[in-house]
Amino acid sequence: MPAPADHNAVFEITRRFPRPLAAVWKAWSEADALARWWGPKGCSIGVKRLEFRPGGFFHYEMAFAGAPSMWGRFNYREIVAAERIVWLNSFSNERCGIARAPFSDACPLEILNSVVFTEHGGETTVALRAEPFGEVDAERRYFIDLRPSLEQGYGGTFDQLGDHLRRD
Amino acid sequence: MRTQQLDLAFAALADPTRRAMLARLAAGEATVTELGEPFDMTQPSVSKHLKVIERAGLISRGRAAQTRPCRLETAPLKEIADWMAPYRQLWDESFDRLDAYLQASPRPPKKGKKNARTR
Repeated sequence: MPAPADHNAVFEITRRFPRPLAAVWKAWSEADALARWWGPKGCSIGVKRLEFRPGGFFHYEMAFAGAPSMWGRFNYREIVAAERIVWLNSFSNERCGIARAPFSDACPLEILNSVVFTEHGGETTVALRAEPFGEVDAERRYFIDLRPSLEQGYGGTFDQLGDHLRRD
Repeated sequence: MRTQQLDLAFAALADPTRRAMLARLAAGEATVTELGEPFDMTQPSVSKHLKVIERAGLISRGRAAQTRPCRLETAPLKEIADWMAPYRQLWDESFDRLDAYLQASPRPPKKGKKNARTR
């Protein structure tokens, strides 16, 4: 059985776009483009800073109608042109300092993302993988470990949760 | 979930005894006496731990029976554990917009092809 904690803490999403890789890469690496597509629904992104290089930041304001702005940042760790981007995503303050999610402490402080681009027949596949970054404290880890068992529990049985916890 | 409630939940789980109690409750309802059995502690100490867990909303206690059995409340646990659902939504929506953006942006002319666009 795979280690439940690690397996369930990883998020993956893959999308295919009917455009060549060069166009998709441009959309990920230029401020104007990022502002057009990145971010939660219903907000408009204001790019405060984009340093598209390892160690650089993408710092943005998320402006919502009738609600206070939130801020976020990418801290780029690895960039291989037209191939992959690795970055840490987190909320931030307006000075690009790291911050917890304004609405919930449950959100990991930083999420490590890596995205891989591949082109085939004029279409580009974008594969993103994300997981909470860094040391996860014991209490938070407990919740993460509980997750799969809780989902099972919602189906009507707590047996699996019981077994999982007894192994703890 | 409100921040204050989360603080209580994390505080409740910071203690190994309380984590063990929740693990026991995951197997089904239990009375205070049953929950205290594995531990070398007095019943008031057991009750104190349970109060911390109950205040955090992680368990509820029966009203009817004299023994007031405790049961696990899974909703707060699930909410705390689940960062992934909103993250998935964020990316789903962003990719939708990326798709629309890419479709709308001008395509460079393809050299040497009949259907090359010239705009």
